Amino acid sequence: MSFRKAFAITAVAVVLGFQAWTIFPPGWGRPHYWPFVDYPMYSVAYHEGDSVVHRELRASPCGAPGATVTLQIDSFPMEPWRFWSMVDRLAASPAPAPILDTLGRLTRSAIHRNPCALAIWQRVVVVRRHGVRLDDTTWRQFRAWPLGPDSARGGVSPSGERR
Amino acid sequence: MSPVFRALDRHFFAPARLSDLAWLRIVCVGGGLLVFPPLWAVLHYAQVAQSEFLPLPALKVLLLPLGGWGVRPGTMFLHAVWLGTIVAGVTGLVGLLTRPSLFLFAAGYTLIFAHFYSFGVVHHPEGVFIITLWLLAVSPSGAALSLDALLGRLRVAAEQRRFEPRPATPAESGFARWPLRTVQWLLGMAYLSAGLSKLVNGGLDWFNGYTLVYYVALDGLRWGSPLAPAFASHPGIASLLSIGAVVLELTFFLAIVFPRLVPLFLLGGIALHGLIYAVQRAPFIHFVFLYVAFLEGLRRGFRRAPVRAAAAPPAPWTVIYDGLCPLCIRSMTILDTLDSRHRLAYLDLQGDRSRLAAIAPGVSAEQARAAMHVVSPSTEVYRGFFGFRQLARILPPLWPVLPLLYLPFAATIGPRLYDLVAGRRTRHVCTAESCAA
Repeated sequence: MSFRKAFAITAVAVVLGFQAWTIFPPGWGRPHYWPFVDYPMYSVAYHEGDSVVHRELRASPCGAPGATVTLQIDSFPMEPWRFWSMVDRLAASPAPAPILDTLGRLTRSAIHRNPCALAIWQRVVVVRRHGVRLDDTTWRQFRAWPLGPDSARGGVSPSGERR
Repeated sequence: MSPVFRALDRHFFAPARLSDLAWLRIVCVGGGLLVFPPLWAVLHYAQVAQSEFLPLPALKVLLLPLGGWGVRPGTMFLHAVWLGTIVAGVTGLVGLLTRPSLFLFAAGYTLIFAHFYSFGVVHHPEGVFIITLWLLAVSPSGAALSLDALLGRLRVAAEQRRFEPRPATPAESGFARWPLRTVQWLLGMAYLSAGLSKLVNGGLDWFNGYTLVYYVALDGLRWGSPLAPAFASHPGIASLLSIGAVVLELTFFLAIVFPRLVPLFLLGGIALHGLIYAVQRAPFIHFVFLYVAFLEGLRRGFRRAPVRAAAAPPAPWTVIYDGLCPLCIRSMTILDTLDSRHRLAYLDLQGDRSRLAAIAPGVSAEQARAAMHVVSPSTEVYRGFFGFRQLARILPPLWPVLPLLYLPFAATIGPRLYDLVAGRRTRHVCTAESCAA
């Protein structure tokens, strides 16, 4: 057998062997995805009555009392998954100063004005017998934070080209 | 060798078309470049707080030679890796220095995504794709449809001072099949793991319709999919689709065992990922790129399709060239490489002059030596520039230059330019011996 073929056989065995080992782990535990991440692949079941919390980040520009701007992910120079992770952590954190600081600076870049406050609004979407009806849901302010001048005036370059 | 090992040997090492493997390279590298993260996204992570950096083992291994176990890459380094990966991707795509290019592309791609994953961001479609990039780097994926292959042919033609047309049957190799098979099984097992995961973790409740409605509401509303609200209000349809999705995931590997099922499963897979993207905005385009690994099965599947009429291949066009001229030999080699459908036949004026009168009755040997002539199946003769213009119509890879050849005054300037080059060719390129012959 040539070295080339031995190498190819080894590569096939290692790659497919690891994949098989993770799908059919010893003892038939819960299957995982390989490589890199242990990901549940949306495998958990849900039922009638379960609910989804849908959140939005809204900013109040300085000098425009009562006005709010809903911040879309496309307007941030940030990887989308990271944005949602930050919003969720902001909602849950008892001391959100570092996240607020980051989001405040990014918001200024997104709305091209200084934001004086950030707020998380949310609606609870319930899975009912006939599915989800958005007409039945109401947006409510979940938490709000006034922003200091340091958060809003930091230098963040405007968003570039987005993929 | 036992029958089992013989069967495995056939399964992974029976000769396969090198062009099938090359197409996997072209689609994966080209597609990988299209969906490669923009620089701002890569650099964004360089500025995230150190406390959030939890490097994955893959990143630690890749960065080990550059600063130790678990070191965090800096902005300049990430910028250089991003740029280097794109350059390597472009050279890998066109097949220039293919193997080193693909090694660099695979390493850069792995590093960038492992870096993404090291901040708690969960993605998973790229995993199998990245393994495929490494498989392409260690296999003969640049042996066809590449600049390397063309340069190799030109080198041989120059050494032998002769143009040899490609054989009618595509080149095959025993080492072209194993990477294709590995990708097929990786895909099959990835789908199987997704299906099993739902059965084991969710059980039959996963098919109740409410599960899919929940996930669509979770993702589709967050990402702003316009179809999500409509889809999420029909649990009955969601229930049917969830059954279809899991059946496809659990049985996808049958496409490897029964190649005639390939078109069915690939269409099902494209529909599944298309629907997931439409309602949940979850992109699984990397998986669709990998479907190219099933090209052989796809070809067989469509060949069996009853609607296809058994059409005779079109009659070839004949290119008459001077076989003693190195420039002409190079040009014919390039034309032959571009002629993927074998629409051209060649007549070497020096090697087979006797056929000239039969193929192009009105053309003398002296005229044919002065310029390339192209003869259509209906025996119309096109000289020089006009011959090249016909070739550009016949060969799809030359279609991009076709508008240029039909610009106003092209028919006036083109022949002059052609004669200028052809005249210089005769004086400067032929060796004393070949010109004398």
